[in-house]
Amino acid sequence: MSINRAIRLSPHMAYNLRKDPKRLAFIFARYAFAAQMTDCCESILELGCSEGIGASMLHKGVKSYLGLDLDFPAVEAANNNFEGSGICFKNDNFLGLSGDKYGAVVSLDVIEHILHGEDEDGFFKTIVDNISDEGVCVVGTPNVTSTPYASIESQKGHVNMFDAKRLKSTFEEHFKTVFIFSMNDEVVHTGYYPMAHYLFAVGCSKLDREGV
Amino acid sequence: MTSNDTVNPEESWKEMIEEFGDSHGSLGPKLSEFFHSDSYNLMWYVSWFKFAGKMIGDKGKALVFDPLEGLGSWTVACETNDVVGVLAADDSYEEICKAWPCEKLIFKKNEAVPNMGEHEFGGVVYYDVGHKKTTSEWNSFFEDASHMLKDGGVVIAGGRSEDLSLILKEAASGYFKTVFMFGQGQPHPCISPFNAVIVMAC
Repeated sequence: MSINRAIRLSPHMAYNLRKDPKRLAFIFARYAFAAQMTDCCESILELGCSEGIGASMLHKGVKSYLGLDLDFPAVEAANNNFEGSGICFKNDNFLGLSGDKYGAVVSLDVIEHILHGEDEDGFFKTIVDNISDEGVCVVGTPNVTSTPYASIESQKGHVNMFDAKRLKSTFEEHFKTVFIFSMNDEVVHTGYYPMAHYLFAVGCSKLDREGV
Repeated sequence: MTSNDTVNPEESWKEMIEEFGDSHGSLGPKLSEFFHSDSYNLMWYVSWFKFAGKMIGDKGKALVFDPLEGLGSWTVACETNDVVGVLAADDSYEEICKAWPCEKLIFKKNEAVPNMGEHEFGGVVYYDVGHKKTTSEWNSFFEDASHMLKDGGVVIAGGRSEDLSLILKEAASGYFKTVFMFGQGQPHPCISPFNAVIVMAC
């Protein structure tokens, strides 16, 4: 991807960059992990791409990437800043999407905003419906144990927080092989899950509808 | 090497033995050497085994090759179900069985490898601590592992030689559908452990 235009971040991202710049490293480190886990995948679907700052890491200049998000201004910023060859952003409610099969589905900082129950089921159905049989799924979300340290604004939006156990068991309903990783700041590790600020689930080889 | 029993006579440990029991036998020659003169590497090796254990989790019984005189088996077993440790050829089977008297740990002598069952394990682990394996041996290892693993199982392997990344990736890709690479040269700022080349395949 070659960008010859000045990047203009959204007001929210620009505010965060001024207020707490280290957070940018954390966000990029999450994408770097997802990119490393999907290195072998030729096509990437990102559910909840926001303004697309992770697209170049996931795309790596050689893949097909589609980013979807419900937030119209964010997708507009993504298209203005990062759209290019093999990279596409669309303003769309991805729940219920069923179309092309992707080698990887990535979704960071999204599932905690999706209500447990019907909506959460719909989120995973969307993943399964859009991933190839041997595809890799990477979902990242703040650990429920980080809630006391989150801002009031974050807490309001985080309506479905996971711990490592529920994240793993939920993934295991949809994928044959599941790995859980911990993350604190920009460091990914396999340390004690309750003390991880952030969790990743990596799922491989989706199960079919009957769970076989 | 002086025996631990001589350095720490039972009497001087009496109170501790009452509290914690008495299972502090002498370590084997390799572990002792690590503690003496290579504790940094021991730190890394234990970290690698912890990583393997975490990745295997509850996927099923684990098979660990060359398990650091049993310490690697135990480190993996703390995160998994039963662990079968295939000892290095120069390890003392009797001493290691005696040192790790845990029901979860089963040790096999090196020559027992060909008798391992088909699709028996949830995880297979091999860290080439001594940088001994050739490319063809790595190929054989992944082929064998693909037969030993049950559906949904994972193989974790690694080491630290310079060209290992490409060798492991190619070898694992020949027998597994999904291959993840960790460690040296990775673009991520830090995924621990990071000072080795580790491949995880399923």
